[in-house]
Amino acid sequence: MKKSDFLDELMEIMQRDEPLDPSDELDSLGEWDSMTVLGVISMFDLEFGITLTIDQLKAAKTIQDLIHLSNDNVSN
Amino acid sequence: MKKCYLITGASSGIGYQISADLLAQGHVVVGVSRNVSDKVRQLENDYPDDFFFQEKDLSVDIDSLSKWVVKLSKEFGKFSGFIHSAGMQQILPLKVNTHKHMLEVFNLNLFAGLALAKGITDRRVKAESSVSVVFISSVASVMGAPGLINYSASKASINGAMRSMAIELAPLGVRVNSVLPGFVETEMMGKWSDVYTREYIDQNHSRCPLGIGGVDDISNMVLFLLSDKAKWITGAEFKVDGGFSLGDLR
Repeated sequence: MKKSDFLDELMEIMQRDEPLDPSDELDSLGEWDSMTVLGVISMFDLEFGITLTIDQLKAAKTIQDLIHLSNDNVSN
Repeated sequence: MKKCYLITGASSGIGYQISADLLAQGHVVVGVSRNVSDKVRQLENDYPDDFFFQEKDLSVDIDSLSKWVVKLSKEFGKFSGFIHSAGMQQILPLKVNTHKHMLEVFNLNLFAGLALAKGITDRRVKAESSVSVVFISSVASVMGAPGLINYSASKASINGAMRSMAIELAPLGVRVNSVLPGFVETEMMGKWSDVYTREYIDQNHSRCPLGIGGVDDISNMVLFLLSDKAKWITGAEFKVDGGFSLGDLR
């Protein structure tokens, strides 16, 4: 998946119109709540076949960290 | 306080009545239906600033519906409620049932409703105050009738989805309930006389302790569920059927 598609899908899960940047800090985004976390877990499972743990997501500080968790499934 | 509501099946029957009643209370209604009707034109004339009709077939391109609601919200304002009244009743014996027939019913009765509910509860769409979602189910979801396999299954599915949705969305201030009408005089009921014998219809009518209902009987319950008077009610099914489902064995 291209990075731009990943960011689009993340916007959709977060239900926001404003574009996202890999450097955005997750805790600074008002949309980063428990349902969004659940949505990201589902997305990784469906798109990449990766089962994320809550601990992995807690450790993620930025969107770039989420991209790292995709194990190279997200490319430029 | 003036609120904005999205109502499917707004051109006739229960959906029309709910639209008319909400408009009479001073609210804004975005009504959706596959076909425009004379009654809809009348509402447009009577409430030019508050009633907005959208002609749309909700059974196609279902995944696009949630984004469509986001667009509607930008045009008409944030929504305080959604009523999924659009539905099709298909009278079909099992021996001629096909996946295509099943999908026709489920696409409109269930899947479109879920997609629109997704849109309504989008943070860009839902009003800051509490939001109420009401699915028009049917007593056929809890009782059987010949030829109503797909219809009954779709309405029972609505009830199941409604309960999970109610739990998932409660933290967002969204209440979700379903109303189960019994025999109500609507255009859809007219189909019965085309398919069932007079005797069968009379038998069903006689099983309603309070007689056949009107669309206003359903609308009254829906308006209650939309109101703040129902602020502690979510995940519930409300039979509004004149006692039909009590199952009088006499």
